Amino acid sequence: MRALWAIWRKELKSYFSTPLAYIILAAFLFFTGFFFYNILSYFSLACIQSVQIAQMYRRMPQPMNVNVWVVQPFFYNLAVISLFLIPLVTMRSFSEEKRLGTLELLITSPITNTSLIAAKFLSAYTMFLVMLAFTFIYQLILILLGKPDILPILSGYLGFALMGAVFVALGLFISALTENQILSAIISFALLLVLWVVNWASIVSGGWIATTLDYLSLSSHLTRFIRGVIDTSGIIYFLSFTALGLFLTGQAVESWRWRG
Amino acid sequence: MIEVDGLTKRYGPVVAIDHINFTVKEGEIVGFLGPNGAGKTTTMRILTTFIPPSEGKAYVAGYDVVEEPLSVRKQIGYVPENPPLYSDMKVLDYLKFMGELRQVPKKSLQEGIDYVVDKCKLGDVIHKQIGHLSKGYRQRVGVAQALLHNPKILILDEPTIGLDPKQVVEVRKLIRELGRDHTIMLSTHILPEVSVTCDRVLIIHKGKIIAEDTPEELAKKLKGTHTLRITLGGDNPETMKKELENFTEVKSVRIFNEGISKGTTFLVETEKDVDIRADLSRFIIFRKWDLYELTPVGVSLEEVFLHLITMEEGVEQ
Repeated sequence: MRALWAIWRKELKSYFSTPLAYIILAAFLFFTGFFFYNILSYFSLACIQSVQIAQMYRRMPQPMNVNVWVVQPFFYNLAVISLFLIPLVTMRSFSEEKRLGTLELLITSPITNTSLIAAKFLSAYTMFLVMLAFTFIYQLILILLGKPDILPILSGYLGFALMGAVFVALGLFISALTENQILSAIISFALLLVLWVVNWASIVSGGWIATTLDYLSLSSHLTRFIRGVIDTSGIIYFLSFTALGLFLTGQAVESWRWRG
Repeated sequence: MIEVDGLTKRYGPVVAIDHINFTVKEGEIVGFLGPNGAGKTTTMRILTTFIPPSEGKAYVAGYDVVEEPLSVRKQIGYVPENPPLYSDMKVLDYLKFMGELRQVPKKSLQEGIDYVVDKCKLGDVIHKQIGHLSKGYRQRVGVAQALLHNPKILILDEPTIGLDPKQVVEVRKLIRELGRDHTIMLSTHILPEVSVTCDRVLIIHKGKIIAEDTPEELAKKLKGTHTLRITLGGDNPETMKKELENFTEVKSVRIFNEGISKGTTFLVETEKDVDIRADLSRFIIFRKWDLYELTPVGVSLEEVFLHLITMEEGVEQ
């Protein structure tokens, strides 16, 4: 256990001792801020228009839902931004250790592969949670200025935290396959993107194919969480994809060992 | 401390090491000598549990490397050929991390760090970033990380490769010093290195151990004699040994590598300029023994030596 946390600490330190973590965080805050500002501005514009229209027809203005207009679209934008940035967080995890030769050192230390992978996962996931925590600022702004429903926001974050685990686990897997960080980032991004958009094909296909594609897609599960539905099939989906990613990571590390 | 029995590693059709046997006793410094690609690194990687063997057994400090890898890992300090260092870490942070990874208790970690910093003379660079260190210092940091948990066994893969002559001498001195408290196995492709640092030498060539002795004895043997390696079956090994000893021109016979799959292997020594292979084979057939192997070892050993001797130039002892 101590070795696990030692690796976790070392990983986080190495994120923050290189410019990488700061660049990722800066990019993340810039894009989330940019999208939040735009979504919010669009919402307030829509509110003003709604009031003007109501005055024109001498009626009470229609109530406008902050959750539908701001929170939900913001979550979707957040997901797409994460899709780009999480592969940058996970890309060096195993690739760098392979390149430096330090993976040999880690494997020949008295630590099981399971703890090693757990440590790697937890450190990258911590990084993700730090990124996610920054977005609370935007929710705080909404709460101070309006009256959003809190519960769907919380369930959205739960879904997001679960989906982040899938992003990180699959990213680690790809990182364990190659010594090249750039390659690792690109392939992880492509893989996540496929999982994100795969349900689009369900619109044009029908029957069991559509159901399967829908089930496989990250976005269709996240949608339910964002709308305030905590559904077990979603939780199972996210957790099993995370487990699959970590299992494959273990296999990749093991096969690398066998090939020597 | 280390026992290896019939160890084999294949990479697909390529046999990296082929049924090797050897033991390393407690407190010994054993050199693993062979040209590049002979199977040194592969053997060491199996001993450190990094790669699994295809066949055979290896025990380190009494633990099986396949069955109890975690127990083995606790007993060894390993320095791979290119010291695995995180270039963006400071030396002290790196040593702390390695100590924690090796599960050195918190109390003794500082002691361990002080000890290795002193032993490996890292005092001047302790707060420097590893990426900025010279090759010699990096090698020493590599050795330092392997000593932190005070392991019984140190495994060093080519510890002096890529160092300048002055650093080479320093590292060899360090190894000798460490040999007082640890059992050491080091690999090298440089002949003089083993005579300076090791108590005993294993010579490995094309995945097989072809000789095993003290550096002095080995050198003596090479000069005056010619060795044949013969694997025979079909009779009692002792009887065969006696008969071989009585054969004309034979100076001595030793049984080597007992317990291989078929027959018994003998090392038959003759005078350097005599070739008894033709006569000997007729004799073996006449005795109706099974002949599995008849190789002039002396020649290939010399080839290996020639190869090794010519490697090191410019290093002053």
